[in-house]
Parts: sequence; structure tokens; C-alpha cells
Amino acid sequence: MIQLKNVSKVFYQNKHKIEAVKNVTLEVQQGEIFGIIGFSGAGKSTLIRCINFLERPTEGTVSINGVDLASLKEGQLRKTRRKIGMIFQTFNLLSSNTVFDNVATPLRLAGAPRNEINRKVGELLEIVGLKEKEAMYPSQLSGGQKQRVAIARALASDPEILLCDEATSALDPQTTESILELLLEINRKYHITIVLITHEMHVIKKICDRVAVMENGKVVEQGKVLDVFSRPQQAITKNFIKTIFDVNLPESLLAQIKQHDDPGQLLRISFAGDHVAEPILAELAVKFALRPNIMYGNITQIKDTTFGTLVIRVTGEPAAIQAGIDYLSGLELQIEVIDYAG
Amino acid sequence: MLGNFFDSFAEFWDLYVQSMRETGIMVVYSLVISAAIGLLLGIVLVVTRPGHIYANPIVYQVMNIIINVLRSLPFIILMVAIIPFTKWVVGTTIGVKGAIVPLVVYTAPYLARLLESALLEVDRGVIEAFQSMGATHRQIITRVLLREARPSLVLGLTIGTISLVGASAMAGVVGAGGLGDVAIRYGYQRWEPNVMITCVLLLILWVQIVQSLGTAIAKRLRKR
Repeated sequence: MIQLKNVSKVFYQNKHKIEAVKNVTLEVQQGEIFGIIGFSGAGKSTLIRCINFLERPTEGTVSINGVDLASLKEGQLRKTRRKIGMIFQTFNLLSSNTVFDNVATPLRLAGAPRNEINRKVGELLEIVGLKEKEAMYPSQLSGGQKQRVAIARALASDPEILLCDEATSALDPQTTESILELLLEINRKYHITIVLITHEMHVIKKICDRVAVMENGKVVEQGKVLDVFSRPQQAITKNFIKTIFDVNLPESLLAQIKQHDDPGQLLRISFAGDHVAEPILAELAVKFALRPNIMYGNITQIKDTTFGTLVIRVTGEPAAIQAGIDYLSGLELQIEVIDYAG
Repeated sequence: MLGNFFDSFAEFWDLYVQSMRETGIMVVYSLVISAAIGLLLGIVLVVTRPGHIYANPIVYQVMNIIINVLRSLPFIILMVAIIPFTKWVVGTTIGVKGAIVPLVVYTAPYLARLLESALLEVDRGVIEAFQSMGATHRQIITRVLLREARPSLVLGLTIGTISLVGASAMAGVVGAGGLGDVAIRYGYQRWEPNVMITCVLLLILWVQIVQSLGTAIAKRLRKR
């Protein structure tokens, strides 16, 4: 649906060359929620603006439904943009217009008849739960309500794609939750493809199907959110994951274990979906006569899938420990031996 | 003393009415023309900036320089300096007609700067949002720039009008009359302190009315 091929964007600021986006290739499928995560300055803002050509890529191609945006004339590009809604961190509503008029904007720009505008805006305000606030001005609304108005406005032109530029970054955690729920609902009910950028791993975890991790203008890692969570490759990805659950044991605890007479083996086990139900610790004890001891455990929801991490210390015969590890590895679990000696 | 003042007021009544009329005509005509030119220039100064919808460094720089040049001249000098231009435009260099041309040349660049800064206050993010909705450049100018900036535009026009009232007081030099002219000729040259005081009071009244009106309109337009 959305295809970015070798997209680069170079800016010149005071004769300094700034490579905001470097050779990014990615594809967003119809109906999915695709997240792009990175620290500020990673180039994600520029990248998302390349998708609707608010920024024209210096190199590479952007195609929407197979149409290369660079091949479109001004007028055609404007028509295409109407099918790509966009919401922003700072909401970007007209302060001199009421909620109703703000939501009506895309319809008026396209010259829709008055009765259609009334019907459509009413419907949209119903969806975002702001029907009774239609005569208010943005300054009378809270941040979350402003973002709801912006979402209603973005949906007014019946877009196929919704771009979210740090849509929840200016909101408190509770409001963030409700906006994310709304985005998820929009994605499911109206089958609108969503591309979002964020610096919060929580946003990715909560609603995204796939994720791309950006660093210094490059996409360094991408894939299904669950895969990236369970097998992060890059240091930056590990860092982001650490922001929502820290799988590293505290130094003091590691030091304690090291001083033990029989320190045994530290294992980190990650599991997703069905495996959560299997009694693996009991199996280790019964089948291999090992003594598993839980050091750390965490279970979380990644979109619709349960994802857990367990750090255990097993003591017993070295051969039995190895056999235990082999057994766990056979169960489609992620097993990692933690080297705590070094 | 006070009785004396009222006697004088009655004596010069027709003169005040006449001069208020002249000031009024000069200010209104010059304001309408200057506002139209100033707004156009202000819009051009904003949209031709780097990164804006009609980014054009050459147009922007040239306009910038021209406006700065015109803004450097005090009105009394400008009025004399552009006499040939005035003659070319309205065919005369004296009277109310002869005053309106220099008043416009003086006020329009000033308004251009004031309105430019008002338009610059408009959040670039809102413009970006409109671009993402497929708005044309013209729609962005009319529906975002001009609409969002309305309160500041009104305040800018108010400041411009007050400076116009001030400049119009100097138009007596070219025989256009007005309050300033009365103040100089009767108040100063014929040494009628009561006329001077009345003219000062009337000018203050003018400025008060314009400013209060401007502030009230801007307040009504501002929805935050």
C-alpha cells in the first residue's frame, strides 16, 4: 500500500548539509498499524512527511497504491493527499474556528455541499465523542479533546491512510491511552492504515503490528512488534524495550549470586502466546532434578499477544542443567544464558 | 479664563469642523489604499520567505530593501522628495489629493511591516495541516493566514491608523488643511493658545477613538 524505496532527504542549513533520512526502504501493508520509533532527531518526522510529500525526498521513491508520488502534478498530488489524513503532536487546529468548523475543513476545501458537511461532521464528532462540544473553540478544550477534533478532521475526507506525527507525545499517560484506543478502533472499524511515529515504546507495544526503529536517519531494524520485542538486534532497540520492561537484573543481586557456593546458571526465558500456559519450571524440577529459582518475571500484552520474560537461576548437576536448557530450547522459547561472571 | 476658552471655541467652531473633515478625509482615503497595498505586501513578505508556500529569495529580498528604504524617510521629507511622483499620479501636489499620495507612500510600507509580523504569528503547523489536507496555496492564504491573524491584523491596522493621523497633521505644508494645519497657522503663527489646546484635544480624541475601536474589535475576534 505504502512503499518507500531508498528514500533519502537532505537539508541545507547555513550551508551545512543535514542528512535527515538516509536510504530508507520500507513497506506498509493495507490495514496495519505501522510504528516508527526513534529518539528526537532520528529523522522520523521527516520520514513521515515524505509519505504525503510534505517533504519531497531528495532521492528514492514513495508510492501509494502503486502510484509514484513524484510523477503526480500539483493538482493530482493534492487529491492524493486528501486520501491521506494526518494528525500532529501540536494538534494544529484553527484557533479562530469552532470544533464543528475545524472538522468541516477538509470537506469545505473540497467544496462539499452544506447538508453533506452537516451530516458527516455530526457523524465524526459522534465517533470521537465530542458531539456536545461542536460550538466550542479549541482554546476551551483539553489536549486530549483537541487531538480528538484533529482525528475527526483527518477522517473527514474518508482517508485510506492516517499519518500520526507524535500524536500522543504532548498528552498525559491517561489521555494517551484513550487516544491510542481511539486509533485502534478507527483502524479496526474503518480499516484505515495507520503509520505513526513516536519516541515511546509503550505506543508501539500497545497498538502497532509492525515497527521500524530509526537511528541517525536510518532504519536499523524492522519487523513484527512481537519479533522485535523478543529478539531485539540493535543496541538502540534493546534500549527502547528497556524503557517499558527492564530485563536486566540489578548489579547487587548479580554480585550476591556470584558469591554463592553453587551459583548455578542464570537463564532468561522469553515466551509469547500459547507457551505462557506451559508449566516449564515444574518440568525442569521433575524431569531433570533441577532447582529453578525465579529471580525476575514480567508478563505484558503486546497488542493482542501475551509476552513474558522470566529470569531464573537453576542449580543442579551441570549435565542436567545442559539437558534442561536443551529441553527449553526445543519449546520455541527464547532462551538466553546470562553470563554474570564477567 | 475658561469663559475665554469657550468664546474662542465658538468663534473657531466652523474652522474645527472643517479641519476635522479634512483630517477625516485624508485619514480614511489614505488608510483604505495603504491597507490594501500594505496587506498585499505583508502577505508577499510572509509567503516568499524561505520554506514558505511561495518561497522566493529574490522577491523577498527586493521587497525587504524597498520597504526599508521607504521606511527610513521622515514623512515631511518624503512628502517633498516624491513631489514629481505625486504630480504624476494625481496631477497635483497640493490640497487633500496632493497629500493622500505621500501619506500612502509613507503608511503602506509601515503597514506592510506591521501586517507581516501579524501574519508571521500564525502557527506554521496549521499551514502544514492544511497542506496535508490538500489545500491550495490560495486557500492557505485566505483560510489560514488571513483568518488566524485577524486579531493581530486589526491591532496592526490600528497602530498604522494612529501614525497616519500623526502624519496627516503635517499635510498642511501642501495646503491640505486638517487639524495639524490649524494648530500651526492659528495656534502657533497667530498665537491663539486656545486654538492650540483645542487642536491637541481633538487629536487626542481621534487617537483614543481609533485605539479603543481597534482593541475592541481585536478582542472580539480573538477566541483564546
